[in-house]
Amino acid sequence: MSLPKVRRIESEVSVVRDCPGTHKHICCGYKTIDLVEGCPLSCSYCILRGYLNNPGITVRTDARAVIGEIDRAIVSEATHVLRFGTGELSDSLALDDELRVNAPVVRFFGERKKALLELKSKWASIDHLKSCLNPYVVVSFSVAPQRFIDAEEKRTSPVSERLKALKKAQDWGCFVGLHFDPVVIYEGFEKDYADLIEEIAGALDLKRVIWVSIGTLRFTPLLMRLFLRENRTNLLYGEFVTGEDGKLRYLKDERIRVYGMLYGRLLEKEPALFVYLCMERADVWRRATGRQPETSEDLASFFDGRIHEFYGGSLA
Amino acid sequence: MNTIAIDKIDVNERLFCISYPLEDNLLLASIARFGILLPLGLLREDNPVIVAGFKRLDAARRLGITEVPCLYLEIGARQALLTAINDNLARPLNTVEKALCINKMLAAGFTREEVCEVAALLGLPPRENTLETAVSAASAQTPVLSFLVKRRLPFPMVEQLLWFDVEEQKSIIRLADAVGGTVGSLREMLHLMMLLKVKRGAIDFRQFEGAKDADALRQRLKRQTHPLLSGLEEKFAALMSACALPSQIKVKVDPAFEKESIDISLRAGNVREIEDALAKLQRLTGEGFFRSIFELTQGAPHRI
Repeated sequence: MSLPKVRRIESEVSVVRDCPGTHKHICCGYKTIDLVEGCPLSCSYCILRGYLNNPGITVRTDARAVIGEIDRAIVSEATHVLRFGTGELSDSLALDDELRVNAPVVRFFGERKKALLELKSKWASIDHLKSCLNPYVVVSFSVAPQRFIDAEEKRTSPVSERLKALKKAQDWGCFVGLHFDPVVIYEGFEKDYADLIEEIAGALDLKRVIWVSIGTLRFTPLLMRLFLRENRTNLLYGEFVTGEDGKLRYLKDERIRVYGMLYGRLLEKEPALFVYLCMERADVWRRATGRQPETSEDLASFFDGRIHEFYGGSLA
Repeated sequence: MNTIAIDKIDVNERLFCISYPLEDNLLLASIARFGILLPLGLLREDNPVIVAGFKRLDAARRLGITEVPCLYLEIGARQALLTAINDNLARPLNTVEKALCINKMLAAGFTREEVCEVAALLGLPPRENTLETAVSAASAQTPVLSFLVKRRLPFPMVEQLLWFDVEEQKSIIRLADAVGGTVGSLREMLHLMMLLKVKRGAIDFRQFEGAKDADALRQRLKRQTHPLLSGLEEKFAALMSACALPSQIKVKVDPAFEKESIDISLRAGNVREIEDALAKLQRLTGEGFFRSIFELTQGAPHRI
């Protein structure tokens, strides 16, 4: 990965935030750590195209201050096991081999043992973290059919490389996560996703996959204008409506169909998998999965239960 | 003040012209009554080129006036262009005129930052996209320019229209002229047509001919771009039509069929009307009317 223009800053501005989630939909209570802002992977559908104005990369270099802030968040949380991620305003791994910003934070989580850090990526490069990875770090990759990656995620690692990196992380003692996000409806997507799930089941130990998210494509009206201008036939193949949060998303019936299909196929491979829907409505959850989180608080409790299954009482 | 014979001016030289269209009936009437009160700005005494006053010159020619008052400007070409723009800023410029300002500045070698500053003065977003749209608009064919002015399209809609190829632009203009409608309905029509072209690769415009108004055209387009949503809307409309609700009872669903819940409202002037409305609602509930509506708003359960 070639390094774009990088600005290194130390700042008083908070880097630990609640994941913004989305209005009137169920969110998982994730915390984000904005170590890096800006992403060199340039996926066509990326929400950052609408949020970030600056084409460069900004990196927070004051690790001690960042860790202090994370620690304060952990101390002040009384109810849930906190899950943090560095992949909100950037890809967690795309630049890390050069920037080396994750290592101090990764070590901190291993020592603190009270919360989880998720490294969420589409860039299959984790060897540089081998010496500091620990069970309190969840290595996660977004996954999609290779045909889709070739068209819309051109600068990212092939899905086979992502799965190899996940397997490596499992072999090193980490739990891993999978994110089917965004799932995009295009001609033949059902078969491509069925094949992808077969490939995943063949590559990973599904019993050591701590969580799997599914989220269908959603985007702002600004991105809709970009997709039209850029003639994004894959992205605009399906039928979109404006949701209660003002974002465009597939018609509810279609989302239920897609979630139901993926949820069913994943559970066929491993019935104990923990699969959650990202930024969805309670009624969609119910109809697609049979589970009934009515609020974001309910979903955060689901996560607590899952983490307890994997870590027993050593967390929280 | 000087005067100059009109036939001494190179009237075809439009280097500094940012007025579109030149014809202005109000100005024509004013000049017919009072004459040209404000002199034209000209560059070069030996071979005069007009900088400011294109509309006045056009009106004078149409009125058969042979001599006009003028001022000779001792400035360079870039300054002359800024003078022309400044001379017109006192009146509201239409979209084509704004595009001409930007296009001519770029052609004259002004930096993009300088052009963006003027774009902001013109009330346009000072960004690269605006400049690109302006360049495309300035070189569009006359029917397109006339359409932009007649329908008062804002810049984002100009960008939408010019995204299509020339033949498609002609078809869209023909359709839009046939159905009329507001700027808002035209914006939605352009959006749906863009979406349709992205989805299908091409648009068969014949299928939209004969639409009686903008709303009918929108519905035809939406059936192509949003067949599932249109299907839900049609089922809902059919249910509403079949149940023959009295006018004081309203049943509304979320237009995107996202919300599960439906809104039922009733208006009553006395207790008897409330009793009648509730009896009607009870009967409809028993007949499965609301169950059928909830089937539309809840979405079908799906697991493999």
